[in-house]
Amino acid sequence: MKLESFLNATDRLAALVPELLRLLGYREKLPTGWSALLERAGALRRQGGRLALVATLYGPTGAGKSTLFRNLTGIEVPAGDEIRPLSRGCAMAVPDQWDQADGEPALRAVLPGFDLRPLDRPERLRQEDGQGLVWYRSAERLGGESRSQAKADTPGLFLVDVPDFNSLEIANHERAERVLRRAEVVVFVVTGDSYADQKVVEELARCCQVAARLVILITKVASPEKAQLKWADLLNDKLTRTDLPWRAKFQGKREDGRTLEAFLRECPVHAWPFSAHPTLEDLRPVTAGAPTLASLLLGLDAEKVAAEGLLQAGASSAEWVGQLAGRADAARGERQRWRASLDDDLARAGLAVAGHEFPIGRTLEVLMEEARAGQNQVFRWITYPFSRISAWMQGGFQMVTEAIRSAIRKPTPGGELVRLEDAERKSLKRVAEELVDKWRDRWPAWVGSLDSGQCRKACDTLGAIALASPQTNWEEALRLSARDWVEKHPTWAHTLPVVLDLTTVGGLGLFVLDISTTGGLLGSHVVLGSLGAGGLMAGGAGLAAMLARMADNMHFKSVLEDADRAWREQRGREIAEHLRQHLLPGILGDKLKDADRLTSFPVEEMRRLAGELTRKPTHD
Amino acid sequence: MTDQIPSRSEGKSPLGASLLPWIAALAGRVGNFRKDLLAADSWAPAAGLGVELDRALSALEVPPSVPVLVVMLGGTGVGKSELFNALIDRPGASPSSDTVRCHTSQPFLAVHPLDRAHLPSLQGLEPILVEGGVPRGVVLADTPDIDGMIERHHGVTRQVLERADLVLFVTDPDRRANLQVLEELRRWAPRKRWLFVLTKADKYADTIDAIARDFAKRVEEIGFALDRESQFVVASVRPSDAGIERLRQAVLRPGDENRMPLLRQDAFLRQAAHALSAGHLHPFQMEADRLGALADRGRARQEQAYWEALSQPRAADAFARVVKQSAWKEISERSGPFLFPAVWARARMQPLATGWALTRGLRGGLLGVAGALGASALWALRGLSPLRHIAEALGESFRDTLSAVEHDARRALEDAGLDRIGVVGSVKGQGSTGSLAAKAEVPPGLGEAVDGFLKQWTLSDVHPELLGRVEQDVETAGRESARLATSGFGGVVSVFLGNALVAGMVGWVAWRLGKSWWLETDLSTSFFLQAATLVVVSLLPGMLFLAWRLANQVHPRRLRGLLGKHAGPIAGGQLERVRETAAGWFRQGMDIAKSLEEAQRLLSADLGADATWGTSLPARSAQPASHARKA
Ligand SMILES: Nc1nc2c(ncn2[C@@H]2O[C@H](COP(=O)(O)OP(=O)(O)OP(=O)(O)O)[C@@H](O)[C@H]2O)c(=O)[nH]1
Ligand SMILES: Nc1nc2c(ncn2[C@@H]2O[C@H](COP(=O)(O)OP(=O)(O)OP(=O)(O)O)[C@@H](O)[C@H]2O)c(=O)[nH]1
Ligand SMILES: [Mg+2]
Ligand SMILES: [Mg+2]
Repeated sequence: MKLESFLNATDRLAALVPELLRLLGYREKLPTGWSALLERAGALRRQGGRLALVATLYGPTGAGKSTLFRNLTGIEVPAGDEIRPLSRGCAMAVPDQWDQADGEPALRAVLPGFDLRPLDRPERLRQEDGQGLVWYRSAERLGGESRSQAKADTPGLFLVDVPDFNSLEIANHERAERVLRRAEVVVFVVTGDSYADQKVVEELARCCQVAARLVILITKVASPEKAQLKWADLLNDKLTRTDLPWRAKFQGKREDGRTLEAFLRECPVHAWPFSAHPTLEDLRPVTAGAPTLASLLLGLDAEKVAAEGLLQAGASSAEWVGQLAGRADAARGERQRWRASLDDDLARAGLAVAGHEFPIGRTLEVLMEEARAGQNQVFRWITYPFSRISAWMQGGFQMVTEAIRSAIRKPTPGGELVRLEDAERKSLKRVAEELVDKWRDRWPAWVGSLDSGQCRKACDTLGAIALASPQTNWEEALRLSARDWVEKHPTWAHTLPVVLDLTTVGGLGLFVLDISTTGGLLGSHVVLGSLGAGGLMAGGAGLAAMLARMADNMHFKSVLEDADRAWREQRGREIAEHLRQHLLPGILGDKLKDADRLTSFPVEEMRRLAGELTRKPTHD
Repeated sequence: MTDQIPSRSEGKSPLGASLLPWIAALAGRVGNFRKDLLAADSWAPAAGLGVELDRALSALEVPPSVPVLVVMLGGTGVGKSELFNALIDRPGASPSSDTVRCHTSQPFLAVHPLDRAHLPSLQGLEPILVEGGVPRGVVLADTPDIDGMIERHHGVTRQVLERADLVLFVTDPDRRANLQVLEELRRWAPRKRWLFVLTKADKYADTIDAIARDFAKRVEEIGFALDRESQFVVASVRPSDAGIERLRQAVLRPGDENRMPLLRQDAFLRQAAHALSAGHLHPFQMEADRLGALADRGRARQEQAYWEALSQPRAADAFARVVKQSAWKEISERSGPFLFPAVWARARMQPLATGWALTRGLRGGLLGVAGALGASALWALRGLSPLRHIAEALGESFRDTLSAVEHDARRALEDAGLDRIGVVGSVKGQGSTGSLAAKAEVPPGLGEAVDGFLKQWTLSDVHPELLGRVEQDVETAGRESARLATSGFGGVVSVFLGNALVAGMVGWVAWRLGKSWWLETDLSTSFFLQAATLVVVSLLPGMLFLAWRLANQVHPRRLRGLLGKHAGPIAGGQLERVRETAAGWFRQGMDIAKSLEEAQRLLSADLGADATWGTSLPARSAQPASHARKA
């Protein structure tokens, strides 16, 4: 595989991953491997043909990093025991000619994104300064060995001394880690007593994940043998114990398929016995015959190690990118279910708003009107007087009841339709509040930002927007079915209105008869009389209703109810749509858009790209 | 709040007579507070504080026979075991290692043989006991590390630390700036008394003084005011090291039966004060403020909606009508003896009329009853329908506002996890403001009974609290307008003139009656008719005058002025109550904290002079967040 396509895959991922992280609401720290990949790929791009290796010293405070750096490079950096933590800045030893003014651009290509400044005074490193600042200075020799003796064609090794990762100076930790991400080679410096510190072992695992080469240096021990024993205790006891989580942690795989533990076992280990004035002569590998630390560092094949560094970073991010893809899949399913249940809730809410009571009285009226319209002309002419009187009386009765009602209560202006709208508006408000509560209950995390203030705003916004009137009229729908029924059952359709009219008129007749013969025996007041007539009329309506019920076997009622239901369902959909458009944005804001984006996120592409990261990049 | 001993230590009274009375009283207050807090455990700050106080109180339960527990706290390899062995002078008692780290995995307790029976309880741990090396009354504990890769060790140490009376913070020069150990120290700092030990002095012979100063700085950053008495530099491997000797002198002295309880009472004060530190109480005040702001907003919204509704013309008219009605009732008490009957009758017209109609109906047969019912209904409705109008004006939109406020209140409480907090403990519940309840105490007359019935019937769909508030407002406005109508120059004059006129008439009639009785003459029927008419007519000017003045006062536009500032909220009361609770807890916490501080000072005067007891964080100096310096 071409290096170019590896870098392209990295670039594409660099664009995709942050967006996915946002969509997933990822809050954890980004893994070092991922940052290292971006860092190293950037460096490789910038460097063009000249490949430079970065090696960092890395270790807890007081381990002797600065002492080692001083001894190796001869650069005066603050070191000692009086103050802990001592180093706060990063110091870098660059090959001889690199600290010249014309070397700077090339230097920036080695550490892109870092702020590079020449180290003029050692005190610089004691000061607190910003992130990404590296003080550089040239060092001709490394541990007494001249750099020029190293392979002539490699641009050389850049050795960095960094602050600690475990002191109370938290800013130090990030400074050190920043360099760690870039560095292909890590010299892990640790005192003999802190090899089993929780924090130290955590960082050791991190180094195993991202470094191309790792060298262990155990300082302040009584003897190299003791150092070996301590290291053996870590490798053979502490890291293998089944009751501790470390074993699993070190079973992760590196780019070449080795486990972190296997890799760690093969790392060269050096020891530096305790002394008031430690010198490089005392620093030696714990296994006899192994190369010294300086020659080990200088002997590295820059090109090979840089490639390995990139690949290692790629491998350790590929795993993470794969996990991200898995999370995206899971989240996608969850979001889809979530959308479905939202739709479900909205539909139900719409129905609840549209579903006012089935108005049987109005239904009967519609039916009578249709039935009358369906009577033949002659018949209508004969019954005309009755129906006139009946209609007049019904009108009067309605007027009286309205009058009584308005004496007690405020009259509602407008007819049935206004009342329907009113009812809808009212229940829409109630339903919206209920919906909001339900969602708050069901997705405390999802709707986490939905506090009471936002709920209020969303509900008020909804309340301010008028609900569009129904596309088809309820009465129209009903009337159509009624007409249908009348056509199918002409006999019934003829009889029903007549029965109603006859009873109404009969009531009036009885009332008149009562007044004229007994002077109002049955009803002493006009009011009572008209009430009586009204009662009779109601009785007539009841009778008609009874007849209608008898007509049930002709599916009269169910036909009408079906029409009503169909209408309600349609209205429910309209209202659900209204809620979707005007309530959801206020409540969910961008979440809906995010959910859609997540659903269409190129997860498969991410998987493919992650796969590319695990294959070896080579120059063409 | 009563100063009773909390239930937990009730009956046990472990410290017996040695519990200082002022501390016992404090413990009572703390105990009660704790109970309140724990009852509201759905709210994290309350639950957290409750648990902390609980822990503080448990310090008082340790019996005096339990020896002082001195515990070491430090990272791996700092030389705790070596120090332990050196202090009790038993090499190898707690094995130390120069190769394997996280070596000690069990607590080691050095204990006097006679103290074995009284060891502090360390549940679940199996400490290894080393007999001897310590005097009676003191137990020295070596512990596992607190920063190694075996997390179980940290748990074990923390468990021992929980019981510690005095802690030796042990570190070596390499580890003195490690975040993990310093964090541990910071977490425990306010709750314990401390001594600080720097080991391996022999290894850093040249620089040890500078190192010790640097270490002292770290400790001071946490908030300790370090003196030489509580800082020790030792070399455990050196035979008869001066530092070790000094530390032994300070720690391993025979225990003192009288002082031990003091030490534990100090621990109680310290832990309770830590729990009630400003940082911990802050959330209560914040929450109270937040809820207060929300409640205010809700109340303002209700008020505005209420006045908007009432200023609709129809409602305002109706309101003025009922206010006038109720003002007459008030005026009857201010109208003077002669006008009184007329004003009273005017005020009573409503129920009197219904009652009268009904009593008449009782004798009129079936039709009579029906007629009387109708008439009474009409009478009563005349008084009720204005109320109805008002209630209607406070209709849908007002009710929407109310329910919105109610929803907001509930959700705001839910947001904070406060929705299940009732009115707990110390905060008194507020009675409902309904004035209907107060009225029901007087047995109703027939008229009122009918009114009540009709009210139920006509106003049944009106929110009862809302109705209560309207009625209350009507009453207030009535009282106020009655006062205005009868006071001032005009009021006084009209009352006086009205009464004087009637008095004149009555006097004249009485004189005539007296005279005829004296002279034993008979008075004609026409005289009686004439007298009655005159008396009735003489009532009129006063009545008219009052009516006119009242009409001037009760004007729809002036109603709001009559009512002035408004009473409690109709909706969202729960918010108000929870706010009250949170604010109450904050005040209570602050109060107790102040007393604790005072007590601590008193007790420190006894304890502090003696280095044996270690140093402690000065009261209220606990650092709120991580002290780790940031770039
Ligand atoms: N490197 C090293 N230092 C030793 C050894 N024995 C003792 N020391 C002393 O340990 C101290 C190490 O200090 P530094 O080099 O400043 O340690 P560092 O790792 O840079 O510490 P920070 O800058 O605080 O992160 C020095 O005073 C050394 O003299 C040893 O074997 N190796
Ligand atoms: N030179 C010197 N060495 C010491 C001193 N104190 C302890 N050591 C050595 O430091 C190493 C660790 O000591 P330990 O006592 O085992 O340390 P610890 O704190 O108990 O360690 P863990 O049990 O692992 O938590 C041992 O090799 C001790 O001999 C001291 O004062 N001077
Ligand atoms: Mg350093
Ligand atoms: Mg130990």
